[in-house]
Amino acid sequence: MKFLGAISKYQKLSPEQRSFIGNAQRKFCSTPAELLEFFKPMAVYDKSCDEARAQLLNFVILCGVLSFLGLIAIGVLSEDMPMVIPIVGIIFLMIFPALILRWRLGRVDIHNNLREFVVPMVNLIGQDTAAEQKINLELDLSGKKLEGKLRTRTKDDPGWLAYPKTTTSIYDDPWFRMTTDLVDGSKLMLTIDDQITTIDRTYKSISGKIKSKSKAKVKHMIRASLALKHKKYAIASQNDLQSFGHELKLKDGANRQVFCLKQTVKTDDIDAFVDPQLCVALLGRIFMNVQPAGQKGS
Amino acid sequence: MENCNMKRGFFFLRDCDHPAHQSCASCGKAFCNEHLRIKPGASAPFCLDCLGKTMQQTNQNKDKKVSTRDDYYDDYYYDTAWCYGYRSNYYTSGSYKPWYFGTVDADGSEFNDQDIRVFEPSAEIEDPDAEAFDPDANVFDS
Repeated sequence: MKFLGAISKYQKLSPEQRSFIGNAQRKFCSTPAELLEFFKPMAVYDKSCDEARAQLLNFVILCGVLSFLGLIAIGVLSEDMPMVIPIVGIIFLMIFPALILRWRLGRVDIHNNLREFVVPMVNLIGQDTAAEQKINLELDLSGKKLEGKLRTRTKDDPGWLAYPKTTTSIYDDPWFRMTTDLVDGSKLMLTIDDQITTIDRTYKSISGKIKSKSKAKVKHMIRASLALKHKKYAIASQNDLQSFGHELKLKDGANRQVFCLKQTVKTDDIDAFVDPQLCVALLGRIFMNVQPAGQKGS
Repeated sequence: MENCNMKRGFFFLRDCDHPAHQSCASCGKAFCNEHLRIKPGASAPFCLDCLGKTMQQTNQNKDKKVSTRDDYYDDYYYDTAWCYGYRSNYYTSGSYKPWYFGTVDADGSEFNDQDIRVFEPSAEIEDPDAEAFDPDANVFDS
C-alpha cells in the first residue's frame, strides 16, 4: 500500500517543509545546495503522494465494481451462502476510508512543477554558480485558479431560462522567478507567468436537458534574461542576432547588455508541469550566439 | 596528488580543483569524492559522467512516464548527479557547445576543441562596478 510510504515520507519532513507544502508560497535566498536540501525530500514525498492517490482511486473503483457484482451475487446466492452479504458489505464500506484518505493526501499535495521543474532548474543553474553564490527564488505553487489571481471575469447571460450562458475567467499566475549570478559574471533572470483561461458554458441540449461544460486553457510564458558584461562578451547588435527573430529583445546598459528571450507554451491541462528543457534551450540559444569580448575586439 | 578529472558546470565547464581519491570503475579516470557515486548493484564507484550516461539511457529505454521511476532513480533525479547525464544528452543533441574556462588538453579530456568553446583569459577582467541586474530592465515589459 503506497499510502503508507507517502504518510511515512510526509512525517519525515521538517515543520518548515510541511509549512511550505501547506501554503506553497515563499521567497528564498539560499545557495543551490541549501535549496536542493530543502526541496529534495518534498519532491520525493510529492511523487509518493501522487502514486498513493492514484492507487487509492484504483482501489475505490475496484471496490465499487466488486460491490455492484456483490449485489447481484446476493440476489442469486444469499439463500445458499449467507456469508456473501457481510463480505459485500465490508467491500462497500472500504470505499469510504479510501476516499477520505485520498482526500487527506490531496490536501497535503503540491503542484508537480516543484519536482519536475523547480528542482531540476535549481540543480542545473546551480552547476554554473559559485558554491557560495545565492539564488533568489520566488515560488507560488498555491494554485492557479484562486480568486486572488483572477484578472477578469465576463459573463454572457442572455437572461433567465435563456441559453447558452457563458462565463469566461482569466487568471494570472506568476509562479516562478529566479535570479542569480553565474560563474562568468552574467546575471540571470528566469520567470514563468501562467495565464489560465476557463470557460464555463451552460446550454440546452437537443433533448432539452440543461448541461454544463467547463474548459481550461493554460499559457506558460517563459522568459529568460541574461545581463552579460561588456568586458566579457562582445556587444551584439540586432543584426548579429537576426536568427532570433522578434523573440529576442536587447537592452544596452553602461556595463552590461541584457538579452531577453521568451517562449509561450499552450496546454489544455491545468496540472501540466513545465519542461526544464524549455528554459535550458532559451539560455543555450543566447550563450551560443554571443562571442567573448576578446574575439570580436570590442 | 592528481586532481579530479571531472569538468564541472553546465553552460560553462571548468576543472574541478579537488584532489582525486578513487578511480571510476567505468572510464578508469581518477575523481574526487564529490564526483563519484556507488551505483546500485555495484560495489565500485562510478564517476558522475559515466553514471549519468547510464541512468539517462536506462530511463530512455523505460516508459517515459514519471510513475515508472523507481526509488533509486528518484534519488538520482533530484541529486546533482542527474545534471551530468542531462548535460551529456544536451551536448550530444548538437544544440549547445559549452564555454570552457581553462586550456584543453588533448590527451585526457573527453571534450576536445570541437565540443567546447574556450574563453579567452584576456577577456576575464574583474569588473566590480558592473551594473546590477535591474528587474525593471526586463525589456519585455517595455
